[in-house]
Amino acid sequence: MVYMKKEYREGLLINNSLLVEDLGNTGLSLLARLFQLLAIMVGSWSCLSILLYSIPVPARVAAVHLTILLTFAVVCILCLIPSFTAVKLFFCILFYILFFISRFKAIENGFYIMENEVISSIEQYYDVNIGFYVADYRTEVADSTLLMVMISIPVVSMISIAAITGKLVKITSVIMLLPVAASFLLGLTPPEHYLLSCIASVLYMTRLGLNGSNVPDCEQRGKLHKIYSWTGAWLSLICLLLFFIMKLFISEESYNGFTSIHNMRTDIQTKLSGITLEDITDGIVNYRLPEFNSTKGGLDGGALGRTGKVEYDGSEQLRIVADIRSVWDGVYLKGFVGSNYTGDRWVGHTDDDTDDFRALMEELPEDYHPIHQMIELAYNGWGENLIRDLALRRMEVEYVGANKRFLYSPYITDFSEMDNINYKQDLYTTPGRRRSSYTYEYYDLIDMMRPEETVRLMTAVYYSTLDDEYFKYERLYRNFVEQAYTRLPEEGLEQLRSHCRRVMKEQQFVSTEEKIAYIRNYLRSNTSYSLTPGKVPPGKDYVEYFLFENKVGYCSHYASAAVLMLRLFGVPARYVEGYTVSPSDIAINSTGELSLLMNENNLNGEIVISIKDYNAHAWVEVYFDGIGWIPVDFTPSSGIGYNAYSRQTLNQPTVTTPPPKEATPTPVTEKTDEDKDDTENKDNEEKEITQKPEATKTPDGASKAAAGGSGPQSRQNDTVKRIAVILLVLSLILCLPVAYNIRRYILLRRASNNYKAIYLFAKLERVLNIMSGRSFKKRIELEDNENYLRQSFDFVDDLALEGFMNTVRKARYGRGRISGSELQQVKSFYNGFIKKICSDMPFSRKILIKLILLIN
Amino acid sequence: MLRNKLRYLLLLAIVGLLAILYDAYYLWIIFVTLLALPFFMFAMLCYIYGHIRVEMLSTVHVAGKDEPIPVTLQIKNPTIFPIPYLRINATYRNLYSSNELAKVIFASVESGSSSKIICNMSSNYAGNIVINLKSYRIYDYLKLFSLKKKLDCTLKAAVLPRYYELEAIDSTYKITVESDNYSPYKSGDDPSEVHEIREYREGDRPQRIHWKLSIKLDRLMIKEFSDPIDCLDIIFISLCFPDGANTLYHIDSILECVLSISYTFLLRRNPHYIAWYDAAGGICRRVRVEHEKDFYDAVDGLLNLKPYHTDNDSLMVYLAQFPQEQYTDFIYITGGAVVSQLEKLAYTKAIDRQMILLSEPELIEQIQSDEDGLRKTAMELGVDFLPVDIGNVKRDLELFLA
Repeated sequence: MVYMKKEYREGLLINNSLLVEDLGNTGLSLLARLFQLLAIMVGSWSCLSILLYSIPVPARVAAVHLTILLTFAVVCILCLIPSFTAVKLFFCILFYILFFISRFKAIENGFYIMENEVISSIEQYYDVNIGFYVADYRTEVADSTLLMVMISIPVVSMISIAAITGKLVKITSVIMLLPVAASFLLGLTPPEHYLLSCIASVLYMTRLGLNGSNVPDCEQRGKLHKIYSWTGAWLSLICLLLFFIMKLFISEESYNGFTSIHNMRTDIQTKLSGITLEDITDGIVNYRLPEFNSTKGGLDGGALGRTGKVEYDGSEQLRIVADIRSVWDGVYLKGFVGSNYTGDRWVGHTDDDTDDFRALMEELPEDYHPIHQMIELAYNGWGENLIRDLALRRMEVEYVGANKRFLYSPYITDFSEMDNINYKQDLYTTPGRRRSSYTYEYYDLIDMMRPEETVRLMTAVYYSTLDDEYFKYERLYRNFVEQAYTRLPEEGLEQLRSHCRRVMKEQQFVSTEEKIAYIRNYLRSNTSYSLTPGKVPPGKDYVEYFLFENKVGYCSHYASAAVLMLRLFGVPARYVEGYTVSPSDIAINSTGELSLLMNENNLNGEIVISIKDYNAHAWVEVYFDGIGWIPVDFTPSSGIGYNAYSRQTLNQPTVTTPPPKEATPTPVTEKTDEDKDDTENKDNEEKEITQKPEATKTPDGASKAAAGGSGPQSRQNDTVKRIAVILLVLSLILCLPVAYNIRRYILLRRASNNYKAIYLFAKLERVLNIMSGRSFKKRIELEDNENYLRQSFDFVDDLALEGFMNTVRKARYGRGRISGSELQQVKSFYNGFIKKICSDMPFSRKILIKLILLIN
Repeated sequence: MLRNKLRYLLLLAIVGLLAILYDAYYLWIIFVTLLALPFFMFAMLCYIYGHIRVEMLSTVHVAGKDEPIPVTLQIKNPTIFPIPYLRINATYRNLYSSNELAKVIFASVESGSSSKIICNMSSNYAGNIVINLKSYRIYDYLKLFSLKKKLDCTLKAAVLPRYYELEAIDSTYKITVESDNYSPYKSGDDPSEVHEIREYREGDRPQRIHWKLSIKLDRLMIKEFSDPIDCLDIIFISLCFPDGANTLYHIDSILECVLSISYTFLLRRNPHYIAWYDAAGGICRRVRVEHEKDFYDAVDGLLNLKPYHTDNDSLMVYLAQFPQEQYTDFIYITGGAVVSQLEKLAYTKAIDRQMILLSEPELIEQIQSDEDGLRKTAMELGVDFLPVDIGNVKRDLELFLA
């Protein structure tokens, strides 16, 4: 039953109210009342409990519960006495305010204590540094309790009023959900029973909010309240029942067994948690129309950019602080690892492989993980005195511009002692909670310049080790590796397959090393390195186009081709992305004492190295039986094995052939200590500037000024400009109606009384047209409007209407001017009518009317 | 409802996102619950839909103008679930009008009980008011789904026009015509039938003395002659009025005029005919109004008429149906007068012929001012032409009939 507006159509009048006679029981039954009370108590308790859980203030929980009970009792008593509502409300608020003022200091201290808890949670979760408030922790319990009591009173009052009277329901629902939102924002999931209770109560409340508050009759409102009360009760009960039924069907064990859900969730989590405001603004700034086919340098989680050219702008990605000795020969920071090739990207394991890995992990002991395989072996080797130096080195990696989704860590990092680390099967690790810097402890085992030496050493360790368990577990893992990392896409790559089959027949490889050497030679001989290889035509495979047609590419091409070729040769291999730092990069990009770098006899201490976007790299990991994954770099003129070519060299205009493998690092001019302090930074800046890639020729001959306007500062300026333009346009759009109204106001002030009266009538007529659904274009006589007003609106006084209409007629048709008092009469009628109409309307219609009046 | 569905999808997306971002088993259960909830709601809705009953009743079948006609909608909900949202679609119209108006009523019903919704309708104009309960729609608790049930429940109520006694009409000016029916109440001048015999009173005419009976009774006795009461008057209605005019207003005025005259005749104990042209059947119908019951029969017949905009044949049809009859007064009441009607009226065998035209004041003024128009033709044909303002029927009738 709802209030119905008076309508007089075709001579037929429908009365403006309906009478609902409920043939059932009137008033809320005992059961409904009990449910109402339960909703209030449970809602209050759950809401405040979640608040206490999210913000762990040391308040006495018993006091809070007691407050809930007492407040609820007082509010119920007050609500049951229907009269003197304003008086009751006034005194309640007065007492509350007086009490608040009398205990203000303690409450303020409690507030600061709570704020500090919140700040602490934010700092921990978001890894930011905000700063705390000064609070007196000597009385933390009492003050926190007092604060919670003061918060509980209005919250419980609102919940009680909403449930009993059906008023303030929306705002109460929002307030009840605020602690839930806060707990999620602080990275906490509220306990199940709290959250369920809160949700059930909110569901109950939301149905109450639909009470026909615009029903004039009190009794009718009461009847509606009763119906909606039961509706809310049923809805809550049904939801709870469904929840428990679902819990019965989907047990926690079976939920954990749904591997695909977990994988999908982890992937989405990783992607979502990686999105930052910078990503969004970068996305806007870097948006290009389809004909632009370039990407900026850096990594993209396995995506093989099917673009024509790679641009570097020298932006800093990471900053590492490490022992000079461990990075002197360069360093590889491993990030993403891909095991499956899809044609345009490398992705993780398939669902089957993930299940197999899960099964494998169940067979392996808890402290054994394939990612730490080489550490296990190294300890065995150290124990056998085959490895002399097994020092644990330390490296601090600070993220500046790099993707925080991945942990860019050196070989061979020991992740077992790190907190909040997620293992993406045996591929790579990701942070459980992203931070801006990490400290890694790693074993400097792998000689990236001579990986074959590492293989030889570790093979010797393997065959010498007495650890039977290692053998057993390694064999189990090896089976998995042979199955997962020799797989190629089922369709496509026919040309590559036939090529590799032919090579296998011809070459008769004996060992993995031979295969690696062959592939390296083949790539060196048949392809060229370039950052502008051109776009892969549609329908062509990324690797096949590189190997057999274009023959020009960069690190991703080489790594992808090498992995596929190795797999076709039967060698387990996988694709890796990360950052590499060569000794020349260290010399150029490091901050610190350069002389230390140049003097091999003084490789002591730590060094800070800035890793730029052009240090992004892709390489291959090859599995050697018994040992584990060894990184091998197939990109010519790259890596720390080719120190003659720094990044500067790589970005030269011409496409050059890579230098021989034995090239020595390019000597860097030694500086004296005197010059060092003054010119160090200046040199770095200059060299950084020279590091910027110059114009390179694309295959089609078009040249590009890569440096100009593409630095970080200019990009920032672009962003600022775009935002400014958008804001300006929005402001103009918003200002137009305001300006229009100002102009109209000015004109109206100067207008005559007659014009003003006619203007007001025109506005009124517009409102009447909207309400009656009449067309704006159709001419409507004054008499029609008068009749409509008289017949359709009960509240319109006939005398006032007559006076209004007479004045309007006089203003329109009369020769003389209407007086000020007549205009005032018109104004007061108009204002009174609009006010009454708007008070009876739903909110959306009210806004529409006001907009129409504003625009008119 | 679409808005609610979008809101629910948004809620689902938010909960799904939370379930993904936060590794908690129960969050997934909440998500799955939210996925399953709409199905459950729909099932519940189907259950309620199968059990709910909606009926329409009214105790009033006849009312006057502006008098309330209470219409009761009874909704029975025998289920254990309350129905918070029920939308009832009804239509209503005055049968004189071709416009059917729609009305939506929202209702709520408690579980295991019935609700009565009483709304009062009233009509400004006479006519048969028909209220039709077309359908009702039930919504689930979240207003995501709804189910519609069609009904065909119709209620009809007659709204009588206003009528009153016209003081100006005098029954004594009638001229006696031959008839076989005589008034049982009063004497007249027809010597062919003796009404009654009574004693002589001073002033009686000597020609009326019944000599035989007077000698017998040894006192003077007077014979009173009968008054022949055959229908001397006929009120012929033509529900014709110009196209584009307010139909209901015109018909209401015509009916008011007709019934007022008829009522006055009835009060004067003046039997008369009310006749009308039934455009649907192409024939003329008439009711002899002698008693109050006849009057209401005539009202019923008139309320079921269909109006029309051009009238060329009504009088001809009547004359063809009743060719030999003679009348004292032939009162032709119409809303749209044309010269051809005047000519046909002139053919009627009546002593006095009157055409009462009910029209807008502007048109009346126009007719009045047009010296060569209807007025002149009427005068030439010997028809009294009486234009009546439809907004002031009583005033004009009293004026003209006085």
